[in-house]
Amino acid sequence: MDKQALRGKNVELDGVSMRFGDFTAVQPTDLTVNAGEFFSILGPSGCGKTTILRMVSGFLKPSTGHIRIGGDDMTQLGPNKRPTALIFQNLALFPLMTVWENVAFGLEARGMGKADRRRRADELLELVALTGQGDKKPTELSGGQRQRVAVARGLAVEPAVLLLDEPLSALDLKLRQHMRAELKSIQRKTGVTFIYITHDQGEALTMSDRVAVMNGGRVEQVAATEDIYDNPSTPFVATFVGEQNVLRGKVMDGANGIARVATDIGEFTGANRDGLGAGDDAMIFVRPERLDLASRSNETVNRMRAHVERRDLEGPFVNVFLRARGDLPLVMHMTNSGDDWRSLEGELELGFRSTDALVLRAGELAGE
Amino acid sequence: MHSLYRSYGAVLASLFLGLVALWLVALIALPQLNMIERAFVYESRGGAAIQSQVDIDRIYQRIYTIEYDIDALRDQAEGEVAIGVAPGAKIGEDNTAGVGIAVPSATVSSGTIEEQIAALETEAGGLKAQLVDLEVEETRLLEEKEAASGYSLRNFTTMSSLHLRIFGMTLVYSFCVTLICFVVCYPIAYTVAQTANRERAAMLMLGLLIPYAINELLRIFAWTMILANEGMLNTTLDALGLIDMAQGEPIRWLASNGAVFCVMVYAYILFMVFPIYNTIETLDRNQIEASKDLGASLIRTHLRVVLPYAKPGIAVGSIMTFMLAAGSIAVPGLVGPGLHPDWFSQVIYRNFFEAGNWNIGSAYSLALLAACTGFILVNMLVFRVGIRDIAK
Repeated sequence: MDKQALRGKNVELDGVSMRFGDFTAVQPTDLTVNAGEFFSILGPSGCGKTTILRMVSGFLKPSTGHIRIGGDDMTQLGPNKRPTALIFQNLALFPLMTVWENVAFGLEARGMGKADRRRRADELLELVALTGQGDKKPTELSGGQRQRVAVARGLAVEPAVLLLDEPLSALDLKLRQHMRAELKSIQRKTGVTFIYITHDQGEALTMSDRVAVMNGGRVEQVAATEDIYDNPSTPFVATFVGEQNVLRGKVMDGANGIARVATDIGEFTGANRDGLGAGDDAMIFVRPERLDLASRSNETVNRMRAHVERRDLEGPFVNVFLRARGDLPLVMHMTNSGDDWRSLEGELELGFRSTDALVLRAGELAGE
Repeated sequence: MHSLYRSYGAVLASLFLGLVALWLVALIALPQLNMIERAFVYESRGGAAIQSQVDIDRIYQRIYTIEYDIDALRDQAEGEVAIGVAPGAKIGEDNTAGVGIAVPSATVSSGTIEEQIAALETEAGGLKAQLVDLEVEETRLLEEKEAASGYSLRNFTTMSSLHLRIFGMTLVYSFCVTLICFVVCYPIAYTVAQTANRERAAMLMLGLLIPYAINELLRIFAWTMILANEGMLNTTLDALGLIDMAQGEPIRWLASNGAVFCVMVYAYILFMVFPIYNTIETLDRNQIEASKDLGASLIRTHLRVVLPYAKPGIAVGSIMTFMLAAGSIAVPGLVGPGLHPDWFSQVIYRNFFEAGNWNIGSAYSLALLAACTGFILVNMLVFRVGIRDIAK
């Protein structure tokens, strides 16, 4: 595989929006995807992520704004004129063609001779670990193999940007996890810019260099994977990615980057990321794995009492579901490192460190 | 079979099966077998034998007339004696001066009654002698006719070169109609099938269906009204100043291949649209987009993705359209009224209902059926589809 031929390019969205009649699918958006990056757009269904993908691929013309790939304006070009290739959610392999014909279809469209096409297809099939499967029909392959054929078909046209529309959603969990690693490795090998659309945070977090989280046609946050998880910038991102315990209250004091918030079950402090002042409505977010038994902590702040409702063993860790005063649901992850979780019953005193809690301006949560 | 008995009970199930068997045997198998048998039975119509029978009948008739005249003359002779009517009345004038019979002039216009009677008796004697010869000849001819009839391929081999030409041209024309129909229908079927808006697709389909609520003959007549010399098309052209009807320059649209093809395409469009529509409708839109995304032009997308996928539908549509076109009698009959080259179906029709020669008609029908079956097989071979694909 000639690596130089498949150098990725950057993608810039400049004030791009999309309206369908009265409905605005994508609010005006500025977004830059770096060349050679594995970039994910994460969001619930209907958030506009697929619309963005279709605008980048050229199937939709943005209502406003410009799309540039490698600095060239693509807005007026059709999908067959753009240096992009799209991997469809259902893969859209051509059922009547053999695997190699599928892979070489884009080359056929470019007028390459049959022998060259075949050679190129075999190279690409080798890249995606499907050596020798070229003469089969797509229906004779397994789900994961079809996946790889689709990727090979996309790469055959030597795109600068490969767009992937939830291609793993039809696979079962084990295969999905395996394919994540494969896609990541193919991306590394080829250096092509990948834009990956998914509603599955696990996929986004494990594969991506950077993630954009979208909600309601708006990009809520663009950040490196770990920042999305550890430093969400909005309540939506905080709750959409991973699990959260959410405490609502009013800020009493927001000085020195620490916010003190009064809630129904007591006073808590956490990092004041939004620079809130006294009297602001706030939400405190604490990850389940950061919530712990008060007895194991030396701190005296951020204490709460809650009643154990259920303990679910997940294998390596245990989900402890609790309920605090005012019917507030809480969840705590405990590592399965001994027998201590088995004795958790009745009313417990819980706590968390102020540095593990994030205080944000009250807003829309995911799944509401 | 068992599930049928379980679902409906023995009585009802037996009734169903009995009726189906009756339908298969009485309405399909027997008539078809009868037709096939007729096709292979050559029925000599024995032209010469029948002619001699007609001649013999005429002579007998003449002899009876003569005998009647003689009786009448004898009565007259007796009456003349009694009443004294003047002689010389003309009698026995008739029209038996048949073609090709050696009968002397039958008019007796002069002479005494006795002379007239004598002349008539002479004539009758001559005729009777002729009759003996003719009857021998008739027997021989009938035997010949019997010998010529029976199982043979003569119904097929005696097809005149004109009929053979019509047969061949009908197949060529039907193929043209099928081809035109496909060219017209494919874009329609594709557009409707790939319309994202289901409601709009339903409206389009309804628009295609509504004309079919009208009787086929009326639909064809509607076209003759458009295409007639004084029809709407010529009137419109006249109004536009392109032709001058007053100068007697109407364009003769009717009775041309163009008109017949045009009306047939209109008449059978649904049979092509629906099968293609049904297959393309199940084509994943993403495949078309994938093809475009990979850089394929519109034409390549159709050639490589849509058309191969639609093959079973195209095969079914072509088969139906071809069969309907080849068997059509109303369209060539009405649109090309006597001026357009015959369609083979018209030749078959005339054999059955005008010439009354069912055996030749059956043979011609069978030939057409064989040609159509051949077309189906070739079609399946070309499109590489099996019976099962077509059934889908």
